[in-house]
Amino acid sequence: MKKILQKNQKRRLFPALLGGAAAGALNGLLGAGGGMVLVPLLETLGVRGKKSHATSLAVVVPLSAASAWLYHSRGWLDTGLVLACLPGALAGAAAGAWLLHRVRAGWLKTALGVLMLWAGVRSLWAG
Amino acid sequence: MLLAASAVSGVLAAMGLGGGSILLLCLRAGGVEQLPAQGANLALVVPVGLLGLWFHRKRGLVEWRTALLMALGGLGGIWMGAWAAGWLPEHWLRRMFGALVTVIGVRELLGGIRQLKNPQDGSGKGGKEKELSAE
Repeated sequence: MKKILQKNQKRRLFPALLGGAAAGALNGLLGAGGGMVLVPLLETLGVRGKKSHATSLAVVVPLSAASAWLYHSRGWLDTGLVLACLPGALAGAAAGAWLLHRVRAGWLKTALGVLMLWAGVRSLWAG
Repeated sequence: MLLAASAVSGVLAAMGLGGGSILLLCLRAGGVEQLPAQGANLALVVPVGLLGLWFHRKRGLVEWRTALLMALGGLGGIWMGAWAAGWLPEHWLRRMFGALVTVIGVRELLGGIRQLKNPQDGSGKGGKEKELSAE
């Protein structure tokens, strides 16, 4: 443990554990949203820009794997559905990685934000 | 239809948009129940995320030690979260997910507007650097 906690990491220990727990709670409870907690936390801890997103992903992937396993053990995981989504998701991810450095995301983000706001509010209202 | 939805969600996820919830939204719109939709989303984050991490790793973008600390904290969190997901009534989960989507939507919207006003490539007018929540 001492090797992991070098001097500048010690002040990160508590926030990282706590923030990770919050992200994990969201992940297990709602199946998404861990990054919502982690990215701002990482930014305040001094991990900036792309690094905060990349580091957040490094946390979310194993947590999601563990959550998926928990869900599977409770019968909430439809493996057929997962397999059906897999090819599209991987193809999309490859395309997205390619697009990332070629497209300015401003308009896309704005449009996406509006769409999600609409979907979210509707869901809150209708339940 | 599912192919299109999963492809779109993959693209957006790889671009860092949508908070990992786009596919979940699409599945729900397609009639999948909340918990299986959540489960499918979680499972799919793994391969898609690993692909993304592969590229991030090559550029040295991940702070592994901090990530490890967060993941350790997260293990307890997911257990509690999953337990609560089984205990809470489904319409609560749906509403909470709706709240999450709303929050993500606001962040994307504000981030998008900020990016439009301050383009990273420096081609636009500078404008005020509003210290909005970090993107």
